[in-house]
Amino acid sequence: MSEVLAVEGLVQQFEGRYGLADRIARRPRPALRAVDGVDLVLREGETLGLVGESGCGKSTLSRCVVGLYRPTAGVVRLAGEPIAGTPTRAQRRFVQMVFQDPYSSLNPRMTVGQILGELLRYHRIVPRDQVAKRSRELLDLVGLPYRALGQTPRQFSGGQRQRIGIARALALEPKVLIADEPVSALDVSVQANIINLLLDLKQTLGLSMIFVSHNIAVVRQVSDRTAVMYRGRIIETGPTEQVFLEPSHPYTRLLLGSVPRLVTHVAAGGAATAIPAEPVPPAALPTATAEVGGCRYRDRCPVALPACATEPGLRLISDDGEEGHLAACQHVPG
Amino acid sequence: MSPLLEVEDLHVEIPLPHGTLHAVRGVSLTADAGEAVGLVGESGSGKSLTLRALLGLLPQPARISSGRIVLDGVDVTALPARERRRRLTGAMGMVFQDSLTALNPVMRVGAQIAEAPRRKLGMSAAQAKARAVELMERVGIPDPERRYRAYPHELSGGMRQRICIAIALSGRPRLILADEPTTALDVTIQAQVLGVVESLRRAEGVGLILVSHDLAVVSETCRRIYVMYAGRVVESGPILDVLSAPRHPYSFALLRSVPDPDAPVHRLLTIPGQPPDLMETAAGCSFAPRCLFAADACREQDPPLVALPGDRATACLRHEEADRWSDLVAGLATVEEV
Repeated sequence: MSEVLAVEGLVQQFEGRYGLADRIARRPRPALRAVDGVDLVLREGETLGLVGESGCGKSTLSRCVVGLYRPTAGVVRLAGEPIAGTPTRAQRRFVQMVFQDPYSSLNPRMTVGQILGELLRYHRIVPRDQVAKRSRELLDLVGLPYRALGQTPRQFSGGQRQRIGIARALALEPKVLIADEPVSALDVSVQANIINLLLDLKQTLGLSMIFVSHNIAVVRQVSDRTAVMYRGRIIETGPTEQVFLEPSHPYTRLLLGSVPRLVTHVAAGGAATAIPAEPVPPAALPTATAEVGGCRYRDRCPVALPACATEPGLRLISDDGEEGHLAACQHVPG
Repeated sequence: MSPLLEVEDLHVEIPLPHGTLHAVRGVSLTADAGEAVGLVGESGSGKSLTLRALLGLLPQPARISSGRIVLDGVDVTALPARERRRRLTGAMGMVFQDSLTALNPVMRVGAQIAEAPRRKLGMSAAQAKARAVELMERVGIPDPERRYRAYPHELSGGMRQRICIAIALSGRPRLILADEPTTALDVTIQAQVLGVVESLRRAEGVGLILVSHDLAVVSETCRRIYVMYAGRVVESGPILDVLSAPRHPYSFALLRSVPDPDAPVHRLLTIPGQPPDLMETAAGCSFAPRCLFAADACREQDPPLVALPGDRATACLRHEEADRWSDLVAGLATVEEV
C-alpha cells in the first residue's frame, strides 16, 4: 500500500502565560510541547486509530495534520508533498476533518444547503449549476433527507448534526479523513450509527482515515493500525490486533487494563465485580510542561529501570512486512 | 427487612412556557443497606433527575408531581420540608459528574470536607479536621495534611473527584448517590476512582446508587440494575441476569451497539431513530418506534412493568420471545437512520 500521509519529527509548541512581571524579571518564556517529536505514516485505504488520555497531544497532532496549526518543527507530507506554511487549496481538499462537537462546529446561522454549497463553489468541486445536485448526493451518502438543505443545524439531533459534519468533510472529496472524537459527544445508542457510517464511507469512497479517540473499545472496532500517545509522543504503534493482544509498553498495558469491561457472568472467584480494591498506583500528574528527561512514563511506571533516564526511541518488536509493531520502552530488546 | 430506600411511582415534571415536560414517569426502585444499584440510560432518560429528586436537588423549575420516597420505612414526602431535608441529607451523600463545579472554588478542600462533620455530626473544629484528613487518606489522596489546605483548582480531576467522594462520606451517610462520577475522567483515573468507591463501599457498608450511561462501568460496580428509557424503568433485575439475557429490546440493543474492547465485531448493531420527545405523549410503548421487534400491539398499548421470576421486571409485551432475539438480529440488516 502506498503512503498518503506522513508526519516526520512533528513538534507543536504552545507558549504559556507570560506577563509583564515575567518580562521584567527576564524569566524564560514558558513553553508546552503538546506534540513532541511524532513520526507517523498513513497508507492508502487504512484506518489508523490514535488513542491516549486527555492532554496527550492527540487532538493537537490531528489539527497539525489538517493544517489548523503551523507546526514548530517537523513536516507533514500529503501524498509526498510537504505542507509549506499555509496549506494550498489542493492540500486543504486532500485532508478533511470531522470534529468532536457537532453542536459548536457548524455555523448556526447557515442552512445545511449553504454550508455545503459554499464549499462546493469555493473549491470549484462542481460547476455552479450542479451545486444543488451535488449537495443532494452528499446527503444521500450520509443518510439525511433532502429537506435538510433548507434547515439550520439547530433543527437536528446530535447524531444528525454529526452526519452534517461528515457531509461537509466529504464535500471536498478528500483522500484522508481525520475524525477527532467523532462519537464522544453522542448518546451511546447513536454512536454505533456514526461508527458504521464512517466505516461504510471509507469502504465505498476508498478513504484513508485517522480516528482519534480516548475510547479504546471504539478504536479497536474501527482501526487497522493503532498508535498510543503519551505526553506528546507515540509510545506504541502496530497492527491493532497485536497492540491489543500483546501490548508491550507498560502504559499501553495500564490503559487497556483500565477500560471498564462488561461483566456478564460470575467470575471464577465467585465475585460479580471485576474491580480490584486499588487497581493502579496513584498517578503523578502528567505535566507536559516539566522537562522530565528520560522516559516520560518513568515516574508512573511500575517497572522503571535506571536505564529509563535516557528516553527510548520506538523499537521494533515484530515485523509484519509493512511497518510492524513498535514500542518506546527500555524493556523492549533494542 | 424493609429496604433502606424505596421510591414508589415517582413523577417529575418540568413546566415550560409551551407545555409541561414529563421527564420522569412513574419510577419505582429500591436500595437495600450496603447494596450497589445501577441506574442506566441515555441523556434525557430521566436517570439524573430521579437521583436529584431523591435529595431534593431538582433544578428549577422541575418538581416532583407525585410519588413517594420512603426512607427507613418513613414516607419523607409527607414530612415538613425541614424534617425531610434533615432525614434525607443525614442518610445520603451525593457525588456529581463535574467535580470542578461541585466544589466551592474559594474554600479550601479540607474545610469543605469538614463542614458536614461540624454541622451534622456536631464535632469540634479539631475533630472535624481530623475526620477530614482521615477521609482524604481513605479516598487515596497522598499527603492529606498538606492537601487539606489546597483549593479545588490546584488539584487534578481525579483528585478533585476523590475530594467529592470524601465530602459525600463526611456526614456518615448510609447511601451514596453518584451521578456519572467518572464520566469526566480519563480511563486510568476512572479505574482508580471506581476502585476507591468499591473498597469504601465494602469497608463501610455504605450503599450506592450509581447513575451512568456506561453499561460496563455499572456492570463492574453494581449488583442490581435499572435500565431507564424516556422517563421510565423499562427493565430491572440482578445485573448479571439482565446483561446476559436481557428481557427488554432496549437493553438488548444497547448491549449490542456498544463495542467490546476485547472482542471487536464485524458490525455493530444500530438502534434506528432517536429518543422520543417527552413533551408529547404518544400512545403505545415509547421504545416501539425504534424497536427491532415491535408489533402492532406495542404501538397501541403502553406496556406495564411486569415482574418476572428471579427478582426481575420488564416493560415489554413481547418479553417471552426474548430468547429468539439473538437469532432474529443475526440475519437482520437494520435500516440505518439517525
